[in-house]
Amino acid sequence: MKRVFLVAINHLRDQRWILLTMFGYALFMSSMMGVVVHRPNYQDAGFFVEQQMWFAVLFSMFLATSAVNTDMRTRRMQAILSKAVERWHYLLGIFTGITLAIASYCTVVGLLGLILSTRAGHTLPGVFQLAGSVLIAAVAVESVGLFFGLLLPPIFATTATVGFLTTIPLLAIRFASWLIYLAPVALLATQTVRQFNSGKATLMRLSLTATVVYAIIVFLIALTIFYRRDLARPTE
Amino acid sequence: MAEPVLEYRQITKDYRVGLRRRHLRALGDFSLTVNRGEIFGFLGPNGAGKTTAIHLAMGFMRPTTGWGQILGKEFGDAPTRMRVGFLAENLALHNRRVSELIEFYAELNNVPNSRKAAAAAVERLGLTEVSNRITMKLSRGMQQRVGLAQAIVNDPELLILDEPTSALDPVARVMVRELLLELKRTGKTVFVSSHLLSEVEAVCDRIAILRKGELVRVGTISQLLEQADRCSVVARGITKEGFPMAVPQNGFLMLNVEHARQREIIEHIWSSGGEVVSVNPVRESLEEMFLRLASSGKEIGK
Repeated sequence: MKRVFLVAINHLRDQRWILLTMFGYALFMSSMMGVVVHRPNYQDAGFFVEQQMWFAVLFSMFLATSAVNTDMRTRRMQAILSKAVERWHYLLGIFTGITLAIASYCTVVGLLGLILSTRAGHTLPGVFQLAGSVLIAAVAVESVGLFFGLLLPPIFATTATVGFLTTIPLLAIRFASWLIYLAPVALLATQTVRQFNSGKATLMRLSLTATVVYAIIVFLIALTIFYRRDLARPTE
Repeated sequence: MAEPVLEYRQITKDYRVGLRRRHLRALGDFSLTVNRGEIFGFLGPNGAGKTTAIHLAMGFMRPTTGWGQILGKEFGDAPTRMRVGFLAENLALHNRRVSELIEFYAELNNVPNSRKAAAAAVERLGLTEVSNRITMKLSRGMQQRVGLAQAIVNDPELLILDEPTSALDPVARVMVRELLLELKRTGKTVFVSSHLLSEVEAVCDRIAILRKGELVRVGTISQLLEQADRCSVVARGITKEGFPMAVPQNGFLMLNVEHARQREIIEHIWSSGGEVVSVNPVRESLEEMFLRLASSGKEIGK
């Protein structure tokens, strides 16, 4: 596991500018909220933290869809895989690195939400449950992003990830609501929003479990593809 | 008996390229053995398949057919790579301080006391002065040295270098040459792909020449340079009129003839009253041979 951790930290360091932008954005938005809205009310603080938190899902998708492709294109992957690093070390390292970044982001946004809500009068309940649920949703999206990122260039991989994750929920909205059970990430998202806003999510545990299982399965499929494919491109 | 450390056995590698998944054969029925303790030069024009062969050995890709071994294990075995050093062509380094980066690679290879090993590699490649600088801010030549440092940080038994001197200045090239010879003296094996024929000629024990995915020549440099199918016949007592293709040389006449016509020419010299002074295989320069093989059809196998 040492190599997985080394690859993860290395990936985080490679992505430092993107991560700084992420954290900078969260800090900027929360300071705007604190300065412009001199004394934010309780509902505003809740809306703000929820909105910022869900950006984690987008960040995880963008980070995941480009990770492997960029390393392969720049040949940095070769420098790592020329050492005693198994392919699963590498992919799990990338996965862990992105997950660590998203977990940090969710924690920071949660803390900022707490600060803002405290200024508004009293502490928001369930901020860290929200952060945990969003993190799990983001990890599932990350798995899907990594999967498509192995097959397609980043822009197409991002499009494919969005398409893959939204098609079933859109069909569920349009045709049959039961279809939402085939889309664990969307189910978790709806349950999380419901739980945070009204505390009345009935399928929270089911959706969390389903999303974790979904993330693991998609990651294992991605790993199988990564094991089979060529990791260098023809030069001519 | 020579111990093979790198073996390719009848390897074919096909790519699918473009939107129409066009078939591209990078290597065809490729077999080669590199023995322990030698410096082996791998030559060929662009697109010959050298980098593909190296990537197969490192396990970055899998052969379409055939098999290969590196240090006795099938290509792609990760623990074996702990004993291998690799420098990629057009290396892209992670953006770190030089010493940190080398240490990172050493840790990936489970090198004991990785910091000390990294410092030794940095010193060996003459990078001490820039060890605290960010790799992206170094010149291309310096980056190439960093690449070499990460390749040797684990004290590898086999070093695989893809165009190691391409971006280096003459002083650094000499340093790399000395490094390779020093590694050889300590019993290491070096497999080096290069376009710089003078470098190859200076350090390599054996070379292989690849063209369009097929091996056209392999052997020691002197064997290969003398394998040309021509010989020079030096004679005296004959005139240029009888031998229009002869070239005067030091008071003799020299004829450059094909091996197949050697006997006929010698008999012709004798029948003309001349005397054969010497018959020698024509020795091409490596560059001449490379250019001839790179542009011609398939030559001798091995």
